[in-house]
Amino acid sequence: MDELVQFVSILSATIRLAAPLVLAALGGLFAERSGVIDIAIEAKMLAAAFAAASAASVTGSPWIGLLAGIAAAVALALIHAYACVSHQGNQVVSGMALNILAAGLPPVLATAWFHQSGNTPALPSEARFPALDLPFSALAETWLWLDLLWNRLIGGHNLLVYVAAAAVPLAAFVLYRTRFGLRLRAVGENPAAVDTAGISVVRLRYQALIIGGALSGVAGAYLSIAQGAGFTRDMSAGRGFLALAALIFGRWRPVPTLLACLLFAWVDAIQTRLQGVEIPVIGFVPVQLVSALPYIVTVLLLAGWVGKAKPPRTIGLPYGRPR
Amino acid sequence: MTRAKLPAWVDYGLAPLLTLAAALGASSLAILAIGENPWAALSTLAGGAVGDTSGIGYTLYYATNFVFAGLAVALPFHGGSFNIGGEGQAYLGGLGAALVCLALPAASWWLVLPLAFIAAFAFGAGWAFVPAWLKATRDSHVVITTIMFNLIASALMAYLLVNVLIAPGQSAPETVTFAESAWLPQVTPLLASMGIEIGPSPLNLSFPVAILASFGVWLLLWRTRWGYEIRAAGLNENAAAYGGISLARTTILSLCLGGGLAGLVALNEVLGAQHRLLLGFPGGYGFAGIAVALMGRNHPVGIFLAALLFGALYQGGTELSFDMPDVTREIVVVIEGLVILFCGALESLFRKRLEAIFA
Amino acid sequence: MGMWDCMTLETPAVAFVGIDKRFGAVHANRDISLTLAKGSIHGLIGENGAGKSTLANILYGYLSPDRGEIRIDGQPRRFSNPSEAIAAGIGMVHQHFMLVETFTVLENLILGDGSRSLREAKASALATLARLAKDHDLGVDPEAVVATLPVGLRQRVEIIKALHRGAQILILDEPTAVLTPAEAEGLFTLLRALKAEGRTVLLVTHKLKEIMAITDHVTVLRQGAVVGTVETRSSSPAELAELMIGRKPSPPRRELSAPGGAVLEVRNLRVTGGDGRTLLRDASLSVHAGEIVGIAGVAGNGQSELLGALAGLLRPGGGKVALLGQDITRLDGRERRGLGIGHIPEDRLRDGMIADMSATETGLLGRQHEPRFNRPLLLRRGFVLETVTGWMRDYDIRPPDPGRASASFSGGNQQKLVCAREMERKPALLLVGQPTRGVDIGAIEFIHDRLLRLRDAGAAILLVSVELDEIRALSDRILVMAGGSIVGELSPQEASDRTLGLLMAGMEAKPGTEAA
Ligand SMILES: Nc1ncnc2c1ncn2[C@@H]1O[C@H](COP(=O)(O)OP(=O)(O)O)[C@@H](O)[C@H]1O
Ligand SMILES: [Mg+2]
Repeated sequence: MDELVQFVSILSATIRLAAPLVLAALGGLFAERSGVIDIAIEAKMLAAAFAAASAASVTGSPWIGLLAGIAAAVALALIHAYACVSHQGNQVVSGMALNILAAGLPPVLATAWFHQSGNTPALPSEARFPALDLPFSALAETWLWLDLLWNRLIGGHNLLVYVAAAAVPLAAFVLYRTRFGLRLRAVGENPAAVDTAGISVVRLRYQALIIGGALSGVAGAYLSIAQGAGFTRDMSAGRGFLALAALIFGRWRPVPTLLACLLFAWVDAIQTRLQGVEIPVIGFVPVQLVSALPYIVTVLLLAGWVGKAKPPRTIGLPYGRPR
Repeated sequence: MTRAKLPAWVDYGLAPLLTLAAALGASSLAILAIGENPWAALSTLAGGAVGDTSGIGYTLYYATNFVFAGLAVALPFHGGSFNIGGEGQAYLGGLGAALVCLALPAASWWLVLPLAFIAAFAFGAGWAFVPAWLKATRDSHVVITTIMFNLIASALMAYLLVNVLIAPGQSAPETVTFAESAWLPQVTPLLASMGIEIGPSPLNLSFPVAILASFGVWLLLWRTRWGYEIRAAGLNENAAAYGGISLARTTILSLCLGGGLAGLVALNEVLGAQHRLLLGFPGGYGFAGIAVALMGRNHPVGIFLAALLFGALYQGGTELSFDMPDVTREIVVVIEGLVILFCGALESLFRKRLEAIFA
Repeated sequence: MGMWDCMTLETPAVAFVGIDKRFGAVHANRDISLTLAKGSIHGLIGENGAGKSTLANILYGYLSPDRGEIRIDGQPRRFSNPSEAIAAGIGMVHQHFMLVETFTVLENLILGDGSRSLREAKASALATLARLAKDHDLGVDPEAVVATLPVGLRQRVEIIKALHRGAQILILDEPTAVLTPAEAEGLFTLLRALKAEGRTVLLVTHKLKEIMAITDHVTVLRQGAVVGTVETRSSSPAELAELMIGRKPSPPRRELSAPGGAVLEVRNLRVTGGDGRTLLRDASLSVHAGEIVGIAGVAGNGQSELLGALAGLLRPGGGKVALLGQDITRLDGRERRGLGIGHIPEDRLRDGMIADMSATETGLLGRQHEPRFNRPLLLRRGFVLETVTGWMRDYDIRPPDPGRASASFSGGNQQKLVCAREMERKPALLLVGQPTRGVDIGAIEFIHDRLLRLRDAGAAILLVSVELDEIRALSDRILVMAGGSIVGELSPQEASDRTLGLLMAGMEAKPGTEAA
């Protein structure tokens, strides 16, 4: 029975760790499907995490925090769009600029605003998104299996986890069943075809990047006001890049991307548990090496199976009519 | 699409200065947001950087790191790879140098220093090799893999420094101080022995090595057939393949050389200044290299000038954080990001205007 | 047909008034004025780079003119976007197709449809498809993914796209470049039918034959300016050709070849694409010293793969290649170059030069290892510069400035630079792909002459071109490719348009053909 409880708690941790990855990766999906490389997911998450924590700390409202997070991430997305879509700048370079900017700005502002050397003050629980209890949770508690399933696995997460879960089918619907999705997929493949069909490439890409920014913003807010209780320096810890890797591994499609995120999250969930546990044959694995596991898995995934995945055909190439 | 040709002084002089001005202007906004006076902040910054001989020494000392880190980005850039892995490569370079120094505590300087130099270069190159090889053979995204290798490097080094290399009886994760034979001579005592007194700074003989490295990169890229192949592959993969150039080779060669150059940051930091290996010693120099390379237009001369500028920013930033406690050193990182944005991504914004005037 | 007289009284469907357009230093359109009569087929002809596509794209709202005005049915219009031109009843089939290859035909059709729900858009597109299939024999499977369609069908999709959006004025930019002669004939039938329905067609081409075959009027462009608009019936190919190039074309000098021993021998060469499709099927051929062997065929029938496999750029899936008796099947491109293979690639900007490098450095491409250009460690830059300067003089490359960026030379001068580099190696075998694509007449004549001279000097030359006239004018023997195979061999005398066309369409193998 203990093992079952253990198992469920790993799965439940996987879900919680996957949520920000899923949101961020779906954000990246919109950007990249439109033909714009989104290497700055990390920046958007970090900026959003800081903005959300700051706003929540000042106002005491997680909702205002969430909005502030989204606004910060969308602002970065708009800079990216301005540089890469309006001015046809190098998308990778612009993304790295944002990553570095977003690594530097929060500590500067945090120190100045909160005098806390790079952090925001710890948030009280009412300024965060609490874990939700599903209806009938008391009823389900009476039977262990149901309790585990209903209250620990499906229930008991914060609101944003459910937002992430809903975002996957929603993104798939938008991408494959709407006119916007049709055009979005087209513009990444052949922007000239979209342009000559009388549709504005610039507008489509701005829309895609704004949606991407908003989703990354929710992901960032998740880190600081749902999962965590305040902003800490570098709190995204490479998750933006993991999300990007999951997106690539998921071949720029919502459901496979979800699965890739779950895989990363699972690795993350077990690595916390692997620390200090003796593994047969290997023995104790040092904490520091275990914590590198998700990164190593990312490299292996990118090396092993993704070689043949086809990115949107014109990704990374600026588009503009000759003038 | 090619761009109109601008006069060299505009291309390499005016354009970077304009972007710098724009970046400083934007960071002034950040300083304003903090509630400090941007003008006071910037003048403190400038005074700290070049106000006295000690400040200048520090500026050049930081610039040494930026030259290596900038070259580490620029060389692969010419070969078509964006090397974001300078941070991890520098870290591993430090490991290489430290291992040599720790293994030969009693050897004399003419043995230790060359070996440590080679090890720093080789370890940096080796850390770049895996992403390079994965890009060349499996088409893995080199930006992501090099970032992952930065993260993996810090985990690995944390492990080594905490568990293996830590100085006995010490709680801070760092190695013992090396024997003095493994210290690169510093400039202040050197000049003092010649009767010239300057303020103290960790500026050391890595600085001329950095100048030599810049020259070497220039020679390689523009004067040899291997450099020609690297540049050709970076500009047009199809044409390179047509011209009998192996893309796998130019990719691996350029990235590994870049990694090696990043590894040389350890020369300055580990052998020249700290004389032991510290946790997190690369301290963001690898990332700053991106800004330096872009601002220097990926040319060794430009990189050298941009490195001087960033050296001044770093030194000045440190002074600034002493003088204005509400302004942290990360303000320099903000400026760095803005420089990359303006020089790299928004380049055309300035170019279009300059071309209208000068071309 | 005698419609000219009455047409002139009507308001023209389109009038260009004083259109002017520059790209940086290039003056692509100079003060162009012309009118398209309603319900007519108007030809726009001119050499490569004359400014035809630019003008067509201005009408389509894709490019905006620097000066000048466009009138549709007499009304001045300013299109800043294709959507506005589409709304005004203008449709365009671009030189390079504007299709999303991963999409189905249906998805491509509904892409631009913004006014109704997706479901309605689909229904309406399906209705159009059914109607066009019935009325004009324009059948195509709506669920087919465009990437799997042959070029001829892709063009059909482009035409359907334009008609589906209700185009009354249809622009076609070099539509026959990708068609077999038979397919081109089919296209012309369609255009006549569209004209009969009252639509106006602007046919952009650089081929005189097509102009003579189908247009009512023709406008000739030279270096961006109109040099004449004439009624096709009352003109002649010779007159138009002279208008186009500003002088009488000089026919290439041709003497019979005296082939020597075999230089290149290819047996059952096979190339498979990434998706497992066979792109080159068991090609066997030989090229002898002092001989030009021409490969005719519609683009995309395995010619590129043949060149790539011979140059060592593609790994063959089977077969054998021998150069001067030596098996080179396993050698890579660099080693093959070392043995005396030169290569003028089909797409010079993609493969043959490095646009952002100087002419000198482009001149070194593929030859950077030759001992004559190297000291032990460093390049002999002075000697490279001297060599390229020499080429610029001998090949009349203008401007003769070896330090200029390669991209800033005109198409003809770029191509001459590539030719100089490859020909001056004195190759035993020269592989030549589309040597005159996007090249002006002066350079075409020059390049043809150099190819013949190289042949007379004893080189073996394999020439791939989609221009049948070029193949006929230069080749000593002609091989025809279709569907990835060599389907026939002809002498230049036997190679009439009709015979070639049938072979190229893969319809019939010429009786008595020995598979070379
Ligand atoms: N986007 C562009 N940038 C610069 N020059 C261009 C561009 N497009 C066309 N040109 C130049 O304009 C001239 C006319 O080109 P184009 O209209 O394509 O000619 P055509 O269709 O008659 O072959 C050529 O010299 C060409 O090189
Ligand atoms: Mg054209």
